[in-house]
Amino acid sequence: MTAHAAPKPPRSWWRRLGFALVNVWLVVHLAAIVIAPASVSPSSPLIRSAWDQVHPYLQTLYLNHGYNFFAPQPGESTLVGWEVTRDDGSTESGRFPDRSMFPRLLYHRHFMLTESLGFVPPPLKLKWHESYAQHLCHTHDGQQVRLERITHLLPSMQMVRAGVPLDAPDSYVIEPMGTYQCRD
Amino acid sequence: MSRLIAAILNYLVRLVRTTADCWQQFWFTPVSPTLLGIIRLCAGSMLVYTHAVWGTALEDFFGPHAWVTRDLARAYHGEDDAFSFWWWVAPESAATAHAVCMVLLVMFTVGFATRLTSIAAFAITVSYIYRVPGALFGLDKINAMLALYLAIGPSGAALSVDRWIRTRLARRRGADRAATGFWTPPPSAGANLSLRLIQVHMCVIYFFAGLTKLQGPAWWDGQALWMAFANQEYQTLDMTWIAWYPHLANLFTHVSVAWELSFCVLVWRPLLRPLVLLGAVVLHAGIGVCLGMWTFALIMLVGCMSFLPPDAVARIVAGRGDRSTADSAASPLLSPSPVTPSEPVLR
Repeated sequence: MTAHAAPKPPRSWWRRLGFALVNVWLVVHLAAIVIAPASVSPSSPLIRSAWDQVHPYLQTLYLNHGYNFFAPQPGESTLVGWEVTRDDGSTESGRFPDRSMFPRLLYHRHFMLTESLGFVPPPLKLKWHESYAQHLCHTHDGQQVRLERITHLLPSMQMVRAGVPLDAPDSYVIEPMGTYQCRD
Repeated sequence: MSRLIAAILNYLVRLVRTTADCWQQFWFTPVSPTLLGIIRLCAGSMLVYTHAVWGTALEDFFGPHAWVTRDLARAYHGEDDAFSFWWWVAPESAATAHAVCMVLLVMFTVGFATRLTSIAAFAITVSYIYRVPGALFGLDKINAMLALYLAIGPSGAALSVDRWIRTRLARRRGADRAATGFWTPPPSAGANLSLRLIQVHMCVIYFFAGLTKLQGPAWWDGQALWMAFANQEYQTLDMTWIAWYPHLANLFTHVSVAWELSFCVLVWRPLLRPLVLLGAVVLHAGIGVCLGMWTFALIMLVGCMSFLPPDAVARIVAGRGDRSTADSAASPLLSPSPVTPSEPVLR
């Protein structure tokens, strides 16, 4: 990587100590950034116990990731359909994420909100849905909101060759997420 | 018998000494900080853009009626050490807090008071991330990783306002012009440490990205890339024509996994490095064009930039930026090189 000479070891004792500490930190850090993705299930009890040790460090630095991009494999996407009912009985409905959203990064943020529904810890699931519902209540000035989870299934190559479009009505599976009363 | 023991001991001593020397050389050999400065400019620009986009929906993600409320976000993290200054920002102060963060991120990007603003940039990045669980993806992981390593090393030592101020002050004190060129900062072991940390982390990322894919049948039967192309919510370029060429979809799938798994080995070989990095450009440009994730694609390429030879980059920048000082200052950087100039330098 470089043509320069490696530095000579420091002479004063406190510099030597600092240099040693940097090296110890490097070893710990390198181990930690490998343990993080290695501890993603399925993982061995040894790795999981190592993860318990390095977890606070990684969590503080936001390095606690599995890096499982499109893994174990790309899957269907999740959308959320909503219908807000106002005091006067009028309704407004929609679906997010909205592909017309700009910039694209903002669309991705909303897309991740729906995709993450599958990863929310079970004890928080209802609160999570409620939080989305209250946000829609607030932005649409509603009295109550009904949510539904929409799973958009992927067509196979054979289906596309047979003329099935990506947005075929049959490819959307709808499950109710509940009706929520708006708080304010 | 005693000869055998002596030979074993001798081997062990040599092993430890050689390992220690290589370790020292790998992490602490001074290099020009110019490449680190370029990475700061690129990663900083992405941080500015990422947070500017948060700013367009501040109320939706950070307000009292956010998609994920503050209490819910804290409950999500539980007992974990999830520091975020957003825990203490009152709703009416959110816009002010965001504006201050934007200013600090711009200061970091241009390299002003970088020792402080780089730490602030990392703290800001992680604070926003922890406030909005559920709205995150790969971009945020790489943003935070790069911000951390840019805060550890002297990321403001080159191509920065700090460098400009330093050279002006030095010249005012009568220092030699060649020794204080803006485009030719002195080599630094810290710059090498930063670049090495980014390099190693990129290897870990690609290796585990490939390894976790091996758990999915679609990466084995060659369907995975098709499944990504056929996902309408990701799609920005219609790639459904590939359904008529299933072997092509299979090939793309297998090559992607093979490239990710082999990156951490092949990228260290000087002869193969340009090809491996070209693979990164093709893969990430594909993600940007076909799946619309340009931000993620670009930040991954910024991480890959750490594999460029720092002294060659420094020489190019010095040659373009300040011809008067380039020769005198850049030559000492390169003269001890044991390899030919055309070969990417790697130890």
